[in-house]
Amino acid sequence: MGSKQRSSMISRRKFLEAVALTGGALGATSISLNELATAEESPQAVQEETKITFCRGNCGAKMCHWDVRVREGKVVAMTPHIHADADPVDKGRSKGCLRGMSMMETLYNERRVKYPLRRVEGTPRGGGEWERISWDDALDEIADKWKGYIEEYGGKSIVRWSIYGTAVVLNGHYGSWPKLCTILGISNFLAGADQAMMFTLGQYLGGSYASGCDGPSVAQNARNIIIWGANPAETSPHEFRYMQEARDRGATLTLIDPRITATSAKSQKQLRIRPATDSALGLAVINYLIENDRVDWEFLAKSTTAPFLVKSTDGKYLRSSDYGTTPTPTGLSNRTTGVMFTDDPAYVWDNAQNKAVLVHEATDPAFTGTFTVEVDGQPVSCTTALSLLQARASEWPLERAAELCDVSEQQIIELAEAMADGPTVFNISNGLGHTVYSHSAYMVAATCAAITGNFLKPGAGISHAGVTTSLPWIPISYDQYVVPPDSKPGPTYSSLKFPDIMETGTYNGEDAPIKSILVVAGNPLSNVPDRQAMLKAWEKVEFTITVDPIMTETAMYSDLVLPAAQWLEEEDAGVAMFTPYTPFGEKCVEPSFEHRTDFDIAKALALRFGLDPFYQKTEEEVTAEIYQTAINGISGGAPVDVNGEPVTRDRLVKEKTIRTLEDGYYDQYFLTQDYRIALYLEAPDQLHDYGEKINVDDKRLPFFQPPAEAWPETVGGFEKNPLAEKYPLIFLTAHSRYRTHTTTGYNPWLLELQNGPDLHMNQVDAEARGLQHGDIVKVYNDRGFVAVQLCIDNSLRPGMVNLPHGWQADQFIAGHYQDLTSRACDPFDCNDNYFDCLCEVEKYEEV
Amino acid sequence: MTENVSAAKAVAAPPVKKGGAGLNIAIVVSAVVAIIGIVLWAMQLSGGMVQTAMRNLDSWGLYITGFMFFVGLSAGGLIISSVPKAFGIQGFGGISKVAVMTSIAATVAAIGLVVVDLGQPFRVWELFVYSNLGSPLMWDIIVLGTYLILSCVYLWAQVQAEKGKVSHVALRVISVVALVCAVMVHSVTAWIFGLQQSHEMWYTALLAPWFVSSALVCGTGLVMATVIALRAAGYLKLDQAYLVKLAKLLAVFLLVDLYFFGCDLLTEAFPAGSDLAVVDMLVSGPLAPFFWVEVIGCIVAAVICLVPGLRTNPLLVVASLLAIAAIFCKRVQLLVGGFQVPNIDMAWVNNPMAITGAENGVLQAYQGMVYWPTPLEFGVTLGVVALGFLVFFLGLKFLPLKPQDQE
Amino acid sequence: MTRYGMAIDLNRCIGCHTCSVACKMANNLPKNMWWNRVMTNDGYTIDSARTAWPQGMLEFTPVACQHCENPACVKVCPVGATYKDPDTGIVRQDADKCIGCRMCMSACPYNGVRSFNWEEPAAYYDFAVGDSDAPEHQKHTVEKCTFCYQRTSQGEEPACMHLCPERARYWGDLDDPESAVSRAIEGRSYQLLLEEMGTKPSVYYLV
Repeated sequence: MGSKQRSSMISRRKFLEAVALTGGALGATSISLNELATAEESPQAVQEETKITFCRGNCGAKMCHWDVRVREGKVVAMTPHIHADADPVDKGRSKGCLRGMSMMETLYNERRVKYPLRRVEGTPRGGGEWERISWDDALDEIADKWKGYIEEYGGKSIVRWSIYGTAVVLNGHYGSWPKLCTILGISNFLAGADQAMMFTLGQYLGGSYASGCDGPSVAQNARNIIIWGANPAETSPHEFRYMQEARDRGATLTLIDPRITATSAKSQKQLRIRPATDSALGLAVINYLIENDRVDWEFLAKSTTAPFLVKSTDGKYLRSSDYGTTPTPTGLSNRTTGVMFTDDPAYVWDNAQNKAVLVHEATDPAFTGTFTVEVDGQPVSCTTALSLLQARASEWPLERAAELCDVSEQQIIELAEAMADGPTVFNISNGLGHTVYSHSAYMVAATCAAITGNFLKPGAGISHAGVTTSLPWIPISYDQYVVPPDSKPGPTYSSLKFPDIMETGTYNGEDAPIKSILVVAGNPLSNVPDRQAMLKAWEKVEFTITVDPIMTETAMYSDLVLPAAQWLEEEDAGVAMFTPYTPFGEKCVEPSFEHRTDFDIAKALALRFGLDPFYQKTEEEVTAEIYQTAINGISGGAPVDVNGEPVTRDRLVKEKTIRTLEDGYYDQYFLTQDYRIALYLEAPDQLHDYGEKINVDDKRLPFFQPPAEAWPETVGGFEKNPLAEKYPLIFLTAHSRYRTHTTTGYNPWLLELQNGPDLHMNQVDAEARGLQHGDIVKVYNDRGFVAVQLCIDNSLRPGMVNLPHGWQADQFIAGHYQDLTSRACDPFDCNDNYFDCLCEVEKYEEV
Repeated sequence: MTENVSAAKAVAAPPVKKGGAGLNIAIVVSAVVAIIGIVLWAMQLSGGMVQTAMRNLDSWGLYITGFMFFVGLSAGGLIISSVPKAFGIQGFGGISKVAVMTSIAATVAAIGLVVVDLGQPFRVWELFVYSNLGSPLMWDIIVLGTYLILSCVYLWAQVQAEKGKVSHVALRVISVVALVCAVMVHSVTAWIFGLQQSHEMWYTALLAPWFVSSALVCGTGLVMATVIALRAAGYLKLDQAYLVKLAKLLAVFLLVDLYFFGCDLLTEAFPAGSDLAVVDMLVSGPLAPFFWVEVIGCIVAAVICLVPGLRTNPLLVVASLLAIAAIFCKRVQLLVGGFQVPNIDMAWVNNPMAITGAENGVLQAYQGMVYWPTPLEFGVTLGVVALGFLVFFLGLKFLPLKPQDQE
Repeated sequence: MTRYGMAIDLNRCIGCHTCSVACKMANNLPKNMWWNRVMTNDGYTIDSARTAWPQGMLEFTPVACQHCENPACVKVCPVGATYKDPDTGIVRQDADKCIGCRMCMSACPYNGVRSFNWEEPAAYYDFAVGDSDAPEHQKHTVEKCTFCYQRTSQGEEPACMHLCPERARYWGDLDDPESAVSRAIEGRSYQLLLEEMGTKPSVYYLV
């Protein structure tokens, strides 16, 4: 877009609207209006340019497009972009929230890293003493040290640590750094943050999470909306809108959450469930639905593995390969586990023929029952998947679940009926996914949605944070692009095991020397549980580097800090789509200081390793090629817009946003083995193998097991954790509307809206401890403590306290909230279990 | 106490001088304090009013409390002095001029307190250029200005009349005008508050007459305390009968003021509606100390004034000071109380500009007294009060304020 | 005659504060200045509930200047620094004229709508953000929401109206039955803030 004059005659916003409406013809519009404005030359005319970008805040409902207004080389305002094709009244799918709006505050933040910095020699890590060095010195130092480590210990002795801080093609979490790491054989830490959801739903649904429909489809079609472990009114305001529209049209919103949240007031019903009992609730619902014939039999027959026969011998489905055929790979694989799908149809019991037949040959498949089938001349007892599920669910009659979950039987019935009375959409998020066995909560959620047939139709499905993850285009990641054919990254470690690796020097029995850590697009020391253990491990690493626009807590503890360009200072495209428009961000302003893009930094480092042949292209060329080679995630074909035109960089530069998905989209198939949802996981996978194997039988079906630590009361026959004598309160760090993690954590406008980090506690709990609103309190357990202000908050269930997530060390009065959290995890998902944590609270006395 | 008694005896001593070393010291001291106040005010202007405890939700504080109080104080003198002349009845034994002088001094202090409260005092000229005649504040500025000028004129006229240069009829006319103006000053000051529907505590028709009665209480108190002090200092002589008359008058004013308070409390409490919050706040809430000091102070003062046996000089001084303190407490209740009950009882950000002590939450700030001044405000206020004293002492030194027969 | 007004659907408002941040940015508001405040109906702070568990609810009311038809503030300003714009019905504030007496703050029943610059207005950045013609902020003067006069005077909508995430806000001319705001109010039950004060606000809260 050309620059233009603002005069008293022409309204800037009017002008923008005109530009937006004229779309491709905007060059001409711009010129004519410019001339008009120049002709009217007024002394107060101010030159202002508008650029496009998209938010990379990783809230889950991400990728809102923003108009970036630039004056005299500075970003002066960010306003939600109104898409050219949007309805003029409701502005269509245009979206944005206060976090994205504060993006410019990260750009100009006083904690911005301006120059490459080296920790002053002799000072401790985290001491805050820095010397400014040149880029060349910084990169030479990294190259020299890394070469030494690679020579002595191999590439795996260097670890890249990223946590989705920026999910774009060239920079941040994906793209340039992974590419270099692949070439150099560098290993990486995988965050456990949301794996309970991602890894579990991935195994059920095929995608990393969610398989459902888009907002307009929810708004127009859903009869019931189950918001489970989510608080979309705060965390995904731009997508919650569709649920509100659905409610105003007559849909019922049912919230399952132990806390009263902003979403509560907007929902007609709420089950204020006992924390971490969701899987028992779900099992009771499944049991009720099957017992009362409230299941969608047609869907079960067509789109689930309900009638599949499971062999008692090995617990796997009876398949064609059991009779000697050799399965051939279909070329497709599970996007989460990477397990290849094969052409190996399963058997069901056909009542019509009274024998086991291949699933597509059955006319009257048995949904329940145990049958004897001959395999290799031996009789094998086989039970349908649904029967196995029902057997598991029948352990949870209403009465038992009601007691355990602290809800009424009637509430469970109403919840089940709401699921059966579809189309029902399940808004599932990470709220229920941060205790050690919480992956089972996602198992029951997927199962509930499956047996009620709430998939593959408008207004139904599982939608993460109110959006579906179906991708109209999947870019070929830059990390797999132009790398030597034999290059292979080092191993991927569960970041939770970092302390153990540093302690033993091994991981899963293999030698795992970690000499250097490169942190990119992440702030692990502030966001990973059990920070004291992490810090101890971190101290043992010889050379630590952080690349970030902001002096994060992790940067503070690094030996070298490199100033990365902020989103608004670099051109980039999104790797995934949570918007019906292609995510594309222009370079809006020049870097303020010595900032360089990740693309640029990684390249400069690569050249020091003699990798010139793989770094011949400019950022623009690479972006253009990535668009060209992307795959349409729905059709598997070329990435095209809604009119069938290919999406190219040239078009994006001109048009800013391109519509790639029509309103009302819903997923029409599952990309799973058998193209069905498995009600029974015949081969549950585990995310990491750090030497502990899952009990496969346990993970094939949903189950209830109390959290490893946060079980402070004996209830339903489950003995309380004896630790609760000392630490009776459940410690939560729930997400608020002001921040996703620490990304917007230093943005002053948002900080003004918050009272700093504060511990929310019910008045009853506070009075029992003689505490008052505003007191400085110490929250502690055996792992550590944090000192913050107390906020009396009766939206919290007594017995649990909440310290809203997203703060960093310097923002606490003393200690750190991640010092309290635990690294305990289940090998199935190696999840970060922030909420599986007990604590006690008392008045803080400074020492 | 003994001192007072002996001082009272000393009244009979030979001709009083125009002023002694004591007065000079008083002038210097008050001038110094006034200058310190001006320096502090300059600090307030340059560093910002953020140094005061006032904030958006309690946007007035000690200055406006003091303003209300000094307007009240200013009344007594003029009314005491003008009523007898206006109605042609016997006065209070020649204290008329001193009384008017206290009025002038108090008015100067009142105006000074408004000025230090202004964010942009250098834009005061706008008041005359862009006057919005519909604003009660504008009315007050006009009336207060007139009042000050009139007090000066009235004082001048009395002096001239004593020299025979102004006729008694003319003096009487001036005193009638001055009296009307005095009543107006209090009414209009009351209307600054009383016409605001946004503050339940202020929004009452009773406020104007009540301001007049309160003004009479503290004004009479001030005159009584001043003349006893001046007599003790040997500045003037005064027959005790006049003091008794003053005391009786004070008692009447005190009772009227209490009666108004009773009426107001009953009106607020009886419907047991939202106004009950105001009564609770006063009787047992954060403002209770000020409420009870006022009520008990008024009663004690009235008793002293009414029981003949108690009308000793020291006790009369106690009664006058109690009356003044009570009215000051009333002003604090009125001002702080006006902000103590928020109209919108909803929570908002703990913004340091929202309300005094917002650190623990805006609503928490209402738990105790919503406002308490900072040392700077006390300093500036003291400076302005010293200015009032300075004016008074200068008057004593340079103007013929003694009763004519004592010159 | 135009009479600008606003309607806010409280059933939709989730208290996200996007409108307040948009206002803060567009008008280049100094530190600690918020013209548009999203208040929490029943909280100790904006993110808590006061009423005992489990009856408390996190519900919100965005409150900015109500641009009353019968404004209490205009009447009391001794110098006419706050006045009603006859062409738009917008209650405006002239910072150059304001003497800082704070009479308007005291008279306005909507506590906190008006803010005083208790110190030299401080920005977070060394350049002005927001609209190039955003109002200036002066020490020791009173300011408040102008219905984004710099925008509305050019026929645009105020900053807080630009894409409410929940589409809870409506804007337009109350005298024009076809305006978005008039149509939003039509047939809906609504509340006016402190209606009993008789100020006749131009902001309608749909309930």
